Amino acid sequence: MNKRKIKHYTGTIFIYLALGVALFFALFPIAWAISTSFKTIAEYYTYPPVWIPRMPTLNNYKYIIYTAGLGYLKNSLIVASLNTLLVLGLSIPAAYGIARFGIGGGNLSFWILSQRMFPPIAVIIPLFLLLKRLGLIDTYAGLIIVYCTFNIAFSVWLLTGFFEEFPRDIEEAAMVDGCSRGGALLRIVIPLVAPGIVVTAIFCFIFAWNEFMFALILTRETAKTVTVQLSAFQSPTKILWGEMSALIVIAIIPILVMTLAVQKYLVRGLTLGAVKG
Amino acid sequence: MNLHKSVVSNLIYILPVIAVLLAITIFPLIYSLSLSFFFCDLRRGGRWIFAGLSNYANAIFSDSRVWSSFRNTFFIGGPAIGLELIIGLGLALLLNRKIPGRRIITSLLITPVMISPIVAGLIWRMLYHEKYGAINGFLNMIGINVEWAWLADPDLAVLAVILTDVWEWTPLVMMVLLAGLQSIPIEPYESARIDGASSFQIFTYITLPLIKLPILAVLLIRVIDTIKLFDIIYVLTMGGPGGRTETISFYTYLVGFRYFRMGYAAALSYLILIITVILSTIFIRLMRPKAA
Repeated sequence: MNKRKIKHYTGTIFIYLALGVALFFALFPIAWAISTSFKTIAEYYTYPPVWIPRMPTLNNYKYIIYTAGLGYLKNSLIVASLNTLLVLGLSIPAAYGIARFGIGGGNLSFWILSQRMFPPIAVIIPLFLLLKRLGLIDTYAGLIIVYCTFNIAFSVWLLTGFFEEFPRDIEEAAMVDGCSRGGALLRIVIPLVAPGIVVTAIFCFIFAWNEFMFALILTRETAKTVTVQLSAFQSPTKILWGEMSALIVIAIIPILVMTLAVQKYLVRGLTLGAVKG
Repeated sequence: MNLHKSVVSNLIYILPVIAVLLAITIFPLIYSLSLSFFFCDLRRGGRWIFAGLSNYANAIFSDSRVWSSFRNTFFIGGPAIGLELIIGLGLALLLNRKIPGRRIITSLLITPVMISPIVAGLIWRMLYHEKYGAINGFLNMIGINVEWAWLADPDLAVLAVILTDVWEWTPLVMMVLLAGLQSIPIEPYESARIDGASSFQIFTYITLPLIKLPILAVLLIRVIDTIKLFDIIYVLTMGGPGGRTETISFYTYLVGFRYFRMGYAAALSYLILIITVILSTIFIRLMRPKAA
C-alpha cells in the first residue's frame, strides 16, 4: 500500500516536471520578446544577454506609437475587420443553405474545404497580375478581397457545423407561425447561433491579422499591414530589436485575448472540423 | 413545379459564395495554368510568349534548385512533424489525467499556435543571435561556452527552422490528440485491465488504434502546412545559408517576385498544387473507414 502511494507521488511529480519543462519552452520566447521590448539599445546589444531589463524603458513603445507602427496596426485592423464582415455576410447564407437543404450534397462542402487546403503560392501569382491590372495593388480593397480565398472556405465549413447542431424544430415552429424562411433565418436562427458566428468571426479576424505572404506581395506602403512592417525591421546591418519587440507585443495582445475567448473551439477551428473538440 | 421553385430559391443562399470563389480561386487557377505554358518576364515588359511545356520540362529536368527545394522541404518538414507528433502525443497523454491545474496548463501551452508565424520567426531570430541571443546566452550560463552561428551555419540553420516550427505547431498536435484521447470510451480500458494487460500493451493495442483518426488528421494538416512553409523562412534565413533552407514555396516566391519570371513561377506553383492534391488524397483515403 505504502509502496504504491510512493509510486503514485513520484508519478505525479514526474508529470508536473515534464509539463513544467514544456511550459518553459512554450512561454520563454514570448517572455523574451516582452523583456526585450523594455530594454534600451545598450541593453539588448549586451554580451552576455540581459535577462530582465535593469532600467526598463518605454521608449520602444513611444517609437512605435509616434514614429513607425500605429499606421500599420490601423491597416491590419481595417483589413482584418472588413474582411471578416464580408466573409460572414457571404458565408452565413451559404452555410445555412448547405446545412438545411443539403445543397450540392457532400461534394460542394468538400470542394469549398479544398479551397482552403491548396497552397497560397498557387493563387498569388495570378492574383497579383489581376490586381495589378485592376489597379488594386497596395489598397485595402485588394487585400480584403484576396483574404476571402482562405477565410470563406474556412467559415462556410465551420458555420455549417454550427447550423447543423441547431434544432430544426425551432425555426419550423416560427415558419408555421407565418415567418418566411429568410425571416426565420434572420430573426430566429442567427440570434441563437450567434455564439458560433462570433467564434467564426474571431478565427477569420486572427487569420487575416496574422497573414503575411499576400500582404508582402500585394502592398507597398499605403495598405502595408503589421506583419509586413515587422518583417521590415530587420536589415543586413542591424535590427531594431527593442522597437520590433514592442510592436510584436502590441500586435499579439489582441490575438491572445481572442484566443482565450475561442479556446473551446480551437481544435475544431484549426482542424476544420476534422476533429470535433 | 413546386419542388423546382424551391430548388431555385434555395440556390440563392449559396450562389454568392460560389460566385466569389469562382472569381478569386478558380479563375486565377485557370489563368495561372495557361500562364504556365508561356514565358512571361515582368522585367521585359511581361509579354506572353508561347513556351509549350518548356517551363515544366525546365523545372523537372534542368533546374536543380527545384529538386533541392523539394529536398529541403522534406528534410525540414519530416523531422519537424516527427518531433511535433512525439512531443504532442506525450503532452496529450500527460494532460489526459485528472490532475489539478490541468486546464490552466493547457491554456498556457497552446499560446504559440495562434501567434503569427512571422512573429514566431522574428522572436526566434532574436533568440538565435550568436552573441546577444538567449540560446547561446543560456548555454554559456550553464557552462557550455559556445558561439553557435545558428542562422549562418548550414546545418544549424536547418535545425533552427525545425525548432521554430516545432515550437509553433506542437501545441496544435497536442490539442488535437488530447481531444481524441478524451473521446475514447472507458470500457476497453477496464476490460483490458481485468485481463491483465500492461500499460504499454494498453497504449499500443487500445489507445493508438483509437486515436488513429486524429493522428492522421493532424498529420495531413501539418504536411500541407509544410508545403506552404514560407513565413518563418522569410524572416529567419531567407532560404540561406547556401540555399539549405530554401523550401519549395519560398523558391517559387523568389522566381515570381524577385526574378519576375511569372510563367515559370506559375508552372512551379502547379507542381506544388499537384503534389498537395496527391498527398491529401492519400491521407483522406487512409482516413476513410474500411468497409468490413
